[in-house]
Amino acid sequence: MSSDDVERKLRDEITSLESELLRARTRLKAFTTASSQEPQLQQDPSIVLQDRSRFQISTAHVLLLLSDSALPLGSFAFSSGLESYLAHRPSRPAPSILSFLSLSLSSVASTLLPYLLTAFKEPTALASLDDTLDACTLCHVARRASIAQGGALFTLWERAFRATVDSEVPAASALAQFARDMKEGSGSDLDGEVRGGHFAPIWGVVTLAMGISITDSAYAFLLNHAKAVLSAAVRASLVGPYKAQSVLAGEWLRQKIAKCLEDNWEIHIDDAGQDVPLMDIWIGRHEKLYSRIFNS
Amino acid sequence: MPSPFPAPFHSTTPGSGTVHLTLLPPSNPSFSTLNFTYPLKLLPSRAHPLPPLPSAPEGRPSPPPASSSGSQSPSDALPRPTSVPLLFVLTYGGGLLANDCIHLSLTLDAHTRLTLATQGSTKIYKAPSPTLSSHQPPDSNPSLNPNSSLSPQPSKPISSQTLHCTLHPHSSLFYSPHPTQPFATSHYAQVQIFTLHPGASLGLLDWVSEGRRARGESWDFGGWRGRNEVWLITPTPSVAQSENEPENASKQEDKGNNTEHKRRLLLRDSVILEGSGLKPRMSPLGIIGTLILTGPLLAPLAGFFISEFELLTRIGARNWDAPTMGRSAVEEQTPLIPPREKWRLERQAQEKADGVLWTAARVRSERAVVVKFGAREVQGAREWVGAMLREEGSVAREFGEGALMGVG
Repeated sequence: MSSDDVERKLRDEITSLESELLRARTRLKAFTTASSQEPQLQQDPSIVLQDRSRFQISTAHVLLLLSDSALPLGSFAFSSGLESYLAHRPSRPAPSILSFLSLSLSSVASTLLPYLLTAFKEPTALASLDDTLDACTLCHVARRASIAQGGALFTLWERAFRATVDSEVPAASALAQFARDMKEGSGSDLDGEVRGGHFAPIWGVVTLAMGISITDSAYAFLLNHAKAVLSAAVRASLVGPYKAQSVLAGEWLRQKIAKCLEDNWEIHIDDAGQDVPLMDIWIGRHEKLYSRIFNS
Repeated sequence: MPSPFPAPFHSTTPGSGTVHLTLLPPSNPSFSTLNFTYPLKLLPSRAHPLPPLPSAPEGRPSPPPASSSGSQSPSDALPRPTSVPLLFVLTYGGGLLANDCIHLSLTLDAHTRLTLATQGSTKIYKAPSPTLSSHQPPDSNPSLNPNSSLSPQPSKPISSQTLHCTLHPHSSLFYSPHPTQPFATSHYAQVQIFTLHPGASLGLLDWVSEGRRARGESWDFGGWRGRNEVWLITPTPSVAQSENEPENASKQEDKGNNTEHKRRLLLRDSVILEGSGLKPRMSPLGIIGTLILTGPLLAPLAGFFISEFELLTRIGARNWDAPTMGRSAVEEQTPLIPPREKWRLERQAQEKADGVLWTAARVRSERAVVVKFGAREVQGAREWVGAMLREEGSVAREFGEGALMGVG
């Protein structure tokens, strides 16, 4: 990760320096030429084209979209067990958001990351991967959350993202096939009941279709999860918004996500499993809470 | 390690066992195969007699062979075994040493029923330091894990147990072992794969404790992995693939006696307990477990867990009616409430006292019920599972008291 970070930082630096240079040149040109010639500058097609090419950051653009908390996935409705965890903990000593976040990330990474990565590598296996993940998701509250977000992302793909991608891309045709399977019921529940796909494998294939690297895809998935948990923590009055942002920005979270990726990078889906069994119990008991502000 | 057994036990891999339960006419269960090699021991015990169904006429014909899995006879006409054998799965020394690998293969013929039990918790002894280990875990066991590498750290000597079980149509298995008890620094991996034909039923309890609490152990083992898989076999009448070649007579002939079987993963329960920081991950529990229930014979018990879960008091709710509802308060109200209600209140008070946390849910289009539970101590968990199974009653009735030995 660190070499990637350095590379990224350098690239960012170059981009910003280049844009500064461009701005300076433009100003110089505007200064040296007569004021009457300014309209000509704006109309010069070669300059405009050249300017834009410097700002082509398509991967980052997509990544920014997909990690937007305003993305209509309904993620805000789920606390990933935080609310139930708080109800099951003694109030003293005060529960720490870091310990829960750490457990939650471990659990998500150990159960879902292998499916995300496999879907990314073998997009055509999406339907069977999705069915296997459904067989492995024994906590019904977590399953509901996963299907809700997976379905929302799939809808988002169909209605918004698909048009931006070449339909011949293998991942795009895999998603189209998945849509057909879902409609026919062949890729759905045991009784032919139609349902949406699970979040992690759909995320893998959608990010692949949109040209994001596998590392960025997995990293964004876990970072989004951390953001959702921290956002829930703010709304549950466990931490303040600045504390939440400081956790998000901090080195601890980066290291934690990197470790989750490292630990699960090579894990075959058949070896994926729950490494925080209590998480399933907490999430499963969410329904028994007297008052709830979240759906999980 | 020299085997204390004379031949023919030398002939197969150490620690392997094969069991085949069949029905002899009219409907007497019998082990047509019961083999095992050190350190595994299989001990048949007193069978649980099943009274004939009230409506069932005597002198029932022998059940159809397993291959006729497609025929779904109405349930009132099902052959019913006269008894349910009880089979103990034991290991010498009451546990597994590092590098011990147990492999048990179990086949239940159509309409048979079996109760599988243990006589005590399976102890996982600690692994010696890697330099002392005389041999690696045998790689010769191909069925240990067909898909992938089982051990994340192959250098560490691990104990392992695999169970492959085929349940032919309308057969039933209840497996309720004592919890496994992994000692500090031990490594253990367990894979249990159940293949269920139509109408088959499975009750499976799988639980692991924190180790030897009396010696201060609390989730101090090196690793514990457990994977339970339930696969469903559904016969699909082979579609006439000869639409384009109607003259293909050989294909037509094949079709008659060849129903294709579709194998589909119903559920996989996989728990990985390893790595540093295990104790904070498990706190405050001293034991965790899973109960998997599927099939018609376990449906009443499955429904019972679901309804009891729904009837749990809301977490965080103030109980205005009985603010100090404990055993004594329950006793006082005894005449006022029906027995089941009284039992429920007592059980819920006990859950609170023992720190029992549990959840039950129907999964996979309601084909199975999965119960996840944990408790502060082993005894609390055993008593809780025992209370649930005894109160509902169908396990003791259908599988015998032996099925309750592992629980409280």
